[in-house]
Amino acid sequence: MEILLICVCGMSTSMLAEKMKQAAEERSYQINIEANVADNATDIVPDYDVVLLAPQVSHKEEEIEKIVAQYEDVELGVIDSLAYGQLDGEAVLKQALNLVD
Amino acid sequence: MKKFNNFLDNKLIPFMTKISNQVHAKAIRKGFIAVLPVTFIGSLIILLHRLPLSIIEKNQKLLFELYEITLGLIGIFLVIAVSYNLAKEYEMERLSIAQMSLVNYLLVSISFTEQKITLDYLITPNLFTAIIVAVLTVEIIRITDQFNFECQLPEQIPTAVCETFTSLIPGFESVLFFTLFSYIFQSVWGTPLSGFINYILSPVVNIVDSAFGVFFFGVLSQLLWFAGTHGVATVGVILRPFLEQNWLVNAHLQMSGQEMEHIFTMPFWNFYMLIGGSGATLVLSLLCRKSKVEQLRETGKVSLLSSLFNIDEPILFASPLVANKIMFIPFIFIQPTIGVIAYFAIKYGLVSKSFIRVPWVTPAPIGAFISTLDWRSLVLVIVLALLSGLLYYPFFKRYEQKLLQENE
Repeated sequence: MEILLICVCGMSTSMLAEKMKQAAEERSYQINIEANVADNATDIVPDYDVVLLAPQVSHKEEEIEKIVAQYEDVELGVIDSLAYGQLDGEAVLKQALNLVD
Repeated sequence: MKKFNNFLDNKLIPFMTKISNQVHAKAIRKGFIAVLPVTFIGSLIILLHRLPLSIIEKNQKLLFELYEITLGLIGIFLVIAVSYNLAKEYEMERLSIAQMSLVNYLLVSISFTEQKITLDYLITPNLFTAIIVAVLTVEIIRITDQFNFECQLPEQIPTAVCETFTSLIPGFESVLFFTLFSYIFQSVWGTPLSGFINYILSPVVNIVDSAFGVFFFGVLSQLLWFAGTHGVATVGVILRPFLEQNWLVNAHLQMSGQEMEHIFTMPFWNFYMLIGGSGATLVLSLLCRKSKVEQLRETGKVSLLSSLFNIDEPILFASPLVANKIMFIPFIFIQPTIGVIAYFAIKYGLVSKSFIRVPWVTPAPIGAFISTLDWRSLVLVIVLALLSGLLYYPFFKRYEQKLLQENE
């Protein structure tokens, strides 16, 4: 499974991505998690199964939703801001998995 | 407060979001990111140019030329980057449109008067001209394209022959437009169009580069953050061209041995205001780390290291600062306040102006030092960071107290 985390510069999401990878490894899930920037969304969204927006770009949800809607098998969500601040890899991983179910 | 939140959520955020999601804003933003490699190479060259080594002194001329073909010509790189990205947004032919924009940029930047070609305007920082030319060229081509020119030829002639000619019309029209304009300006005004653009924008540049500008954009960015939106990126849509232009002008003046002009520059914003990230939270992270409340200690643990590199989303969302009424006043006003203090420290000559661009994730004291090559800037950042901590302290204590009571 491929998960994409989106923020403005790809900095804070890359920190969260590392935590999520750790959480996935502990459960021996085969999941690839990457961080990128909102402005690249059009090009990269189709390569993923789940796209999660950082809370500080939640105002771009509508715009990203339009891109995601073009692909049947891509799900979109906004990361809970407390989980994001705490870099809670487990909680966000769970959120991503719930979106796919 | 309720009225105010209403204003934030229903007026300010939608308005700023609209601007920032706009295709032109997006293309300009991506354009600035695309020219970063050239920007940093040019910055490294200025840095080398200033090193007191004999090998450097022998090669001053070479370094100066390297500076001119990187940062001196930055407008060329930006016009290509912006028009390419805008063409991409519109799903048009990117490369040829970028080339056409470059032709038009050269047209408005090179002075042809008296049979002599002058490149002065080409090698001075002209970001506004680059942006305007890129956007106008793409728009002229896009609008002309919509007319769908067709020509009637006998059936025996392949339609591709006709298309060969009609496909030239949009690009040709954009060149015609800029040729006319720059001809009129050169004859009436005496300088190329780019000189005129810088001239009419200079009052706006002066308003942005003032204590008021520092305070205004500082507050605006923090208000957006308070409402949970990435303030720096959103405000950057308007602010960034000015801040980039300002440090480039300083670099240009410095390299040509003149007094620098601008205080509010990209390095100023990154290292005197966003110390530890948005809201100047570096010392606040330390306060959290030492807190009596476990929740805050955990946040401090996560955010302290990242805050050293000016990334503070953990503290913004976990302590939290975003939408936290107790922290509203310090969160909104500390960053602009230390910005204004830095502004006057530079204005009155206590610290030098910045003229070298350093990546924003450089720890603030180091970033400030490299961008000014003045050790006093390092002291200034440390003083500002401590001051921000001091100003946060009473509010932080009150918030901590509240959390303690809730936990009991």
